[in-house]
Amino acid sequence: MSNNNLICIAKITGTHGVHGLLKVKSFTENVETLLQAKNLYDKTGNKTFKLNDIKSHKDGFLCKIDGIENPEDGVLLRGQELYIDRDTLPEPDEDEFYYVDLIGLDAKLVNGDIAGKILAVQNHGAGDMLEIKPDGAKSFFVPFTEQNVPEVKMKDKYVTIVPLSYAANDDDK
Amino acid sequence: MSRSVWKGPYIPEYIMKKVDAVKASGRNDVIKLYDRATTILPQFIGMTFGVYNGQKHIPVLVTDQMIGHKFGEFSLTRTYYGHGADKKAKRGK
Repeated sequence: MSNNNLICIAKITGTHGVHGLLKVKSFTENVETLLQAKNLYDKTGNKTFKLNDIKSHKDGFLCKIDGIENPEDGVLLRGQELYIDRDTLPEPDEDEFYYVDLIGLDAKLVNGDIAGKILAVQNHGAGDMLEIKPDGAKSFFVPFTEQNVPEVKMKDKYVTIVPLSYAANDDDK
Repeated sequence: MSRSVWKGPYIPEYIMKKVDAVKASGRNDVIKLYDRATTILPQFIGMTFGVYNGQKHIPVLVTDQMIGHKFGEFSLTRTYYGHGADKKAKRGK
């Protein structure tokens, strides 16, 4: 398994009880992604984990992993991040994009100049925003709308952005 | 404790001047805003404000559901990058 295509979706945070149950914290938006994952990997993609008997517990999950029968073995896995193959995720709807696909794309201006790279996708409650990081400058935000991001070219690995224009003399109070 | 009704919503005067100027210009320019406690009014719908979070201005496009809330609620002061996992972004209209 190539580790270029792996996405971290969960982390083992500790053990529970005396039968080797493990506590898992999920990073997914949709719980089904974790529950339906057939194979989970470590960061390198060499080691495979199969989660059995998954059940909800407080703000996470409890599960069983083959070969872990007591808390002493389980504690060795504490902190282990669990990765999924990107290709197993369902195709998003039209005009929907996975964060992991957007992050790292080049951001180009309409005239073709490179404005920076997409550092993150943030949502503070007023819609999704792309955080663009230019070389050697502070990052800035662009709302993820058709007006401000008219093109998303996944195959060519870039998006076209129209940066926001601020009102003149706007720093005057 | 809630704000007394007789005072009305908290809106600094300079913000209303900026709003009027942007509306008069006919352009959809972003208005920089430092007063995070400013109440969102119905006449702000459709306008974009750059709400300062202590480091940078976070663009907030005002929608009808935001009326009565404060601008600061939509501009977080702590950045958490976390894991993308299966999270999806939908491109707005």
